[in-house]
Amino acid sequence: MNMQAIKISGVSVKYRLPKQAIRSVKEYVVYRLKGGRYDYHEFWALKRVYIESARGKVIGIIGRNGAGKSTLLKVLAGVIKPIEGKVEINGRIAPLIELGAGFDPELTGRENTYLNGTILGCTNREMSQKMDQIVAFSELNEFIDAPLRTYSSGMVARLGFAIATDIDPDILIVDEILGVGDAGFQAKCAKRVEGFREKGVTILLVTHDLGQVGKMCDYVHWLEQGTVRAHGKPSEVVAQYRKFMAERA
Amino acid sequence: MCRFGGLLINLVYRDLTVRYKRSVIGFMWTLLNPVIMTAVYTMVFSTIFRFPTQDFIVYFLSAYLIWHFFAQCTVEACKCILNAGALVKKIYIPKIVLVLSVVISGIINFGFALIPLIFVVLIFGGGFSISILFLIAPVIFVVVFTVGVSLILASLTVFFLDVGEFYNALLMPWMFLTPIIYPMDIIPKEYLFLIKLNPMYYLVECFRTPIYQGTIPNISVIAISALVAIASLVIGYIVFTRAEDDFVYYV
Repeated sequence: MNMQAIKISGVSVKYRLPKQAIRSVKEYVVYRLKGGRYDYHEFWALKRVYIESARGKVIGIIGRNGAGKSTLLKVLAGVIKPIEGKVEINGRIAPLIELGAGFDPELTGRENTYLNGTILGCTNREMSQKMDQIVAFSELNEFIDAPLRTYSSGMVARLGFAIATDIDPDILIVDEILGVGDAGFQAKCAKRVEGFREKGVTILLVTHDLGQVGKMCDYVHWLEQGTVRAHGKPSEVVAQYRKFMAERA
Repeated sequence: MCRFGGLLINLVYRDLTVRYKRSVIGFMWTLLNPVIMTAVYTMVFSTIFRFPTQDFIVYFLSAYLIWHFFAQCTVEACKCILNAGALVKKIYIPKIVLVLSVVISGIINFGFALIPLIFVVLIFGGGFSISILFLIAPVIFVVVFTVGVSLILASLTVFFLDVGEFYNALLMPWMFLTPIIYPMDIIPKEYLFLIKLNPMYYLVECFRTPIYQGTIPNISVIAISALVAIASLVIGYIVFTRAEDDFVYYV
């Protein structure tokens, strides 16, 4: 298969934020009666971005805060629809951006595992098969049947990570280094991500840690003000980015 | 979409367990509202005001259950996208699933609330006739109608946070404009059009007639019920699908 795992072609996202903080019918009616106009701030969070990745590559995304990295991840995850351009994704995507999305504190760890798994697009049957693995990896053991509100934040994060990485993704989106749990669990996470890489899972890594980019990535894109400023080999792009940042400082 | 059937099941399961898990009588809560309302209205209208309605309790409860289902679902639906804001902002799910889960939870609650209705009909009414088999049709109509209204309210509330409050205030007069408590024949002729403009009148009538009168409702009542249900669903679906891509910016 020579199909690209990720193909982003000419994607633009325009945010359209109301200038007035009107969030109720009452305010809206009053504002309109006073003759106010309802208009928007517009700005391009992404403008004509092209990014491609073959299967099994590790792609790095770097850039300053507000450069559009998070927007790009949201477009990839399907949360935001771009106003132009196309996003093609071949395979199941696991966003390690938001671990444990939709966790409910009143439900048990097990119930939350089903809920979170189906949010990520698995079936309940698949989740039943993976349950033992998830419990083992998250080290929750007998706590899996306790309500989530009794968990420590580390336990919640461990469970979220275990579910997100146990759904056999083809594409992994990693935002920042995984700061989940204690040192031992972090090492386990790093090992798992490395294992994915060996299995040929495509990884999209978003980070400010330029050293990590140099070590892990096959290819790097540098985003600046919503456009790709440079892309290429990690060493070259990182050098350009460093120079750019030094000039601005 | 069918990939997310499991999600729908899990959301309904969550709705029901979280609501009842920490209460002693659990599912009995579902029955409490219709039972108390029936007791109060029967006392007030049948005993104090002496409405001439025969078997008032059957007349009232059979209509009130439909109303209660509709009101409960639509009130819940107002908040359902906002409540799932964290989810909507972070991860892709078909957002219609959130609205559908509210209505499905409502259907299950409605199912439980039928238990007191059965007892009421057996004790105070004339028992059941074969025409109760027809009841499946009005139930489908009211569910479809409710889904449509829920989709509209869920979309609007994302952009205007107080839609739910307005809607709550509207529900009371709307209920009194629906012949749930009073019989149709006490309405003066010149106000009859007000009732006939109300879609809930047809849906309520469609469900009540087979239980209260033991006959199939008038064909025009059935036809209008089906029409308002479909119209509501179509409008709701169009509104929702046009709005849903913008939810992420407002939740």
